[in-house]
Amino acid sequence: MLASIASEALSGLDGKPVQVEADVVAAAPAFYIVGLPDVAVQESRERVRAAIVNSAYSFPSRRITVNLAPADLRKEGPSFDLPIALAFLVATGQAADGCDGRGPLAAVGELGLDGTLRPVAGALALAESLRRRGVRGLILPAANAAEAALVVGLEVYPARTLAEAVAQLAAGGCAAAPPADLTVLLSGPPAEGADFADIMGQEQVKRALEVAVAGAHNVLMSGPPGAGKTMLARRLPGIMPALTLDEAIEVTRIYSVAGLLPQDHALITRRPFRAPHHTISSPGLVGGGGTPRPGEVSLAHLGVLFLDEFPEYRLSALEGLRQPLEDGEVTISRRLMSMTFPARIMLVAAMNPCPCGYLGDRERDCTCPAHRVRQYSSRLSGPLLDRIDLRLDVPRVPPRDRRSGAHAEPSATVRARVAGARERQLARLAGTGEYANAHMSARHLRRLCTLDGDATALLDRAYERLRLSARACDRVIKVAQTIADLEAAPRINSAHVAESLSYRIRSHHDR
Amino acid sequence: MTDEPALEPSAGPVLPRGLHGPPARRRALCIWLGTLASWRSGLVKKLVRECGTVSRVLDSSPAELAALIGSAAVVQRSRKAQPTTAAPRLDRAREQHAAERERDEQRFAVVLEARPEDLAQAQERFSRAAVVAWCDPLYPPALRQLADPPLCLFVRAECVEQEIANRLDLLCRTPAVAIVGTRAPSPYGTEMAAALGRDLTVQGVLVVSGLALGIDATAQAAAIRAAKADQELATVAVLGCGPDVVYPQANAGLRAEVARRGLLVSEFAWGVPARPWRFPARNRVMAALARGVVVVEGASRSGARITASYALELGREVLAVPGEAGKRLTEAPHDLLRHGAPICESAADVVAAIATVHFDAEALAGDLDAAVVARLLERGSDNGRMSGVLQALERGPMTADQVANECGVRVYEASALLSELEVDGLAALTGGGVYRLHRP
Repeated sequence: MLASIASEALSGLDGKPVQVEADVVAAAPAFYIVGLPDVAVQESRERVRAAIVNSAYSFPSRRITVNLAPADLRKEGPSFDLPIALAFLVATGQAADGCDGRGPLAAVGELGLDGTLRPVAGALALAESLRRRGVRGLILPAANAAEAALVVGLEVYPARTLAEAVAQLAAGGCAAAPPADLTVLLSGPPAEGADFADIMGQEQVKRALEVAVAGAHNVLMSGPPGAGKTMLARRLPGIMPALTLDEAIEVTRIYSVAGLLPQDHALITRRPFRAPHHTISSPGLVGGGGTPRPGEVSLAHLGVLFLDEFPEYRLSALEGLRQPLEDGEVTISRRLMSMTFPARIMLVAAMNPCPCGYLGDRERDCTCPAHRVRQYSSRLSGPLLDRIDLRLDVPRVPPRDRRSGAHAEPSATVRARVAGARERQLARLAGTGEYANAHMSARHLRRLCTLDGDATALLDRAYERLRLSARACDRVIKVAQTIADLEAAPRINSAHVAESLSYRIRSHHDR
Repeated sequence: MTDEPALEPSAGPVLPRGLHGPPARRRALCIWLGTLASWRSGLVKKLVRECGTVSRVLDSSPAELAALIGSAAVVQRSRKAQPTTAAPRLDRAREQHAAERERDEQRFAVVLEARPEDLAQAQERFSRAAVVAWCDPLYPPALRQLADPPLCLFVRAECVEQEIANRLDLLCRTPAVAIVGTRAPSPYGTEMAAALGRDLTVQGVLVVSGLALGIDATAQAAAIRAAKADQELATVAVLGCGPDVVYPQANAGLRAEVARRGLLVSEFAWGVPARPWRFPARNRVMAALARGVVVVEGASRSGARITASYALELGREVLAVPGEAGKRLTEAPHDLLRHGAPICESAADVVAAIATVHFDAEALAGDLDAAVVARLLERGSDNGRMSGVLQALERGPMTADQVANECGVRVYEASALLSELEVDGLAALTGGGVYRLHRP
């Protein structure tokens, strides 16, 4: 007897339709799975067999063929356990497909040997894709229900065990999960413990980071160990504008696909902060693998990617950052597929000024030979540095200055200013497809940024005296524009340019 | 070593000093002190230590300086008294040495007696020769990085004065590489030195060396052969004796060739003979003039190694040519390689390495004298906050946060003010986010 159940395979951040067909005939007992299954899918035979027997169904000695169509799409992972089991049970007459007339239900889920359903990765992306194709509903593990319920227009039928899934199927869908209340999810407590007000001193750095966040500029921080670079970076998501609903769903989709969605969070409402260690491989950072998976840049999408010990990263990994920094997305090409993951990040890189870390420190001497210092900073290529707009020196703060931080601003105050600046940028950049000053092209820059006379004069003098390149000049203008936006100034004046100059990227021999 | 007869009195004016030439007094003082330093080692170092900075040394009167120098002489003489009980041969050498010391001290005393103005005039009276003082525009800016820079350079070339000035200007502007090594190279070392000298010259890099036997001479000869016929400055030799003194005798031909196509440069005055202590001093000037030093072959305790150490201290690139393992001549280069020096297999390696070394004459800031501070404050008077920032920096280098605290402005205002000062060349950011006043 023949039966068929709809399912969905994950492909990047998207779903691809898969039809699971089961054919049970009286012949020498065997259990085949065909249709380009990978190892996890092959092993699904054992899980399905055990789950069926342990759920008090019978597993007849017949020849069973399961086909995952289309046959040319590679199937991976354990999420086909449930549709295979359901198709088998329908084919052997132990379950009924009660969907006649109302449109079929799809199913995904991993089975335990006792018949319980385990959560799968990417449920949100799968649900969205099903909804787009007009599928009526989805039977899936209860642990994934809250996440899939974010999708409006798709009925979600949670099941804790195989038996419950059979019941849902027989009824053509009953006991749908309530749709998620998005406003409740979004209004969760946004602020965590880490606040800008915790950091004493470092006023210039904090100000520069505010500018960076306001214009979505990438930042390079340089300073000795213990100066507080990591502490500052960790507090950046807190001064970024809160995620909008669409943004939150975008982020959640990525985390769901990566299998990193926390159990108790259906929706990720905080901007991500990712800080991979410097030994990370290039695929780990930008994404990759046989079947491409999102890397750290995508996990940091709409948030902060913090790279400590920046020059210590593999050159291949650093060079791989260039595309995401430029385009806001990563494209990974494989023989059979090419996938694009979003990666609109704010890059916050931190480095020591030299291998020992104390070059320029006022209390400790640097012990590095000059050529080692050069080698160290020369690992950062020009094209990569071109994508970083601000460079900050983070000195160690002497204890007496650390105590005198009475008027440190809380993150919420800064966040309000940043939000204002972002709004002004959006208004100005309307029609360009960009949302922040950092992403202005040279053409937009000429058209949209107006400098007053003094500002132009100062920039010209700086161009000559500081030997800025044309590109460096553009960066100075972009950052000055952000500073003007923070002040709600109609045009860029010389004070904005001057402040922007203090954050410029200096080549290491400039000092 | 013989004094060269070719040094003749000059007819015309000596060197174009530039429109903003320093007062004659300061210049005469440079030449006087430079000549004195030719006869006694460590003199400039001592004066700089006593006075603080070179420009403060030059602010002192000759009498004050003579007093400082006089006290140094006493110390030296008391150290000289030693019993002589060694073997006769050693005795003879020691006697000869003592006699040389005696002659040097006599010359020193004669110069010390002279009026700086008279002495400067006397030193500058030769044709096809020039004296460049520390305060002259043509003084190579790279040398200012030295803690004890030569206070004047004695320069000799077989050409007219205007041409010498052109060549000095080229020396200031062209990226230079010092090729140094043993006086007794292997055939491989000779080959490498010649190839480097040739290829670097072809690629527009100025080859600097010490005109010693062996690697130095080979590299410089190759540079001259490779230089285009119309190239004004083929190579520069930095000497450990007066630039009119022929030493070593075996290189007299090459020396004449360098004088014709390039420059003979020395911090030692006319007629100063070669002495062992003058060569390390020469090496320090060589290292400072060059953006990079290539060590071809040398033992672990050799002049080449000393040059490399000076270069590292000055932040110059040091490259080493690899050689055969375990040979005495490859000790110095291999030791450098072991400590992380870039490998040098061809001129391309050198060019790649020095491309990152950047010279900025302005950035080689020294001290800030009172006149400059006065000028700064005058400039700042048009804007109260600007002068406030300047006054704060005058108290010492500080970060933008500290400037903001001192001046009672917001930190972003402090950043902006500091940037404006930086654009005007009045402040500079050093490492660690610390700004300091900058000599304009």
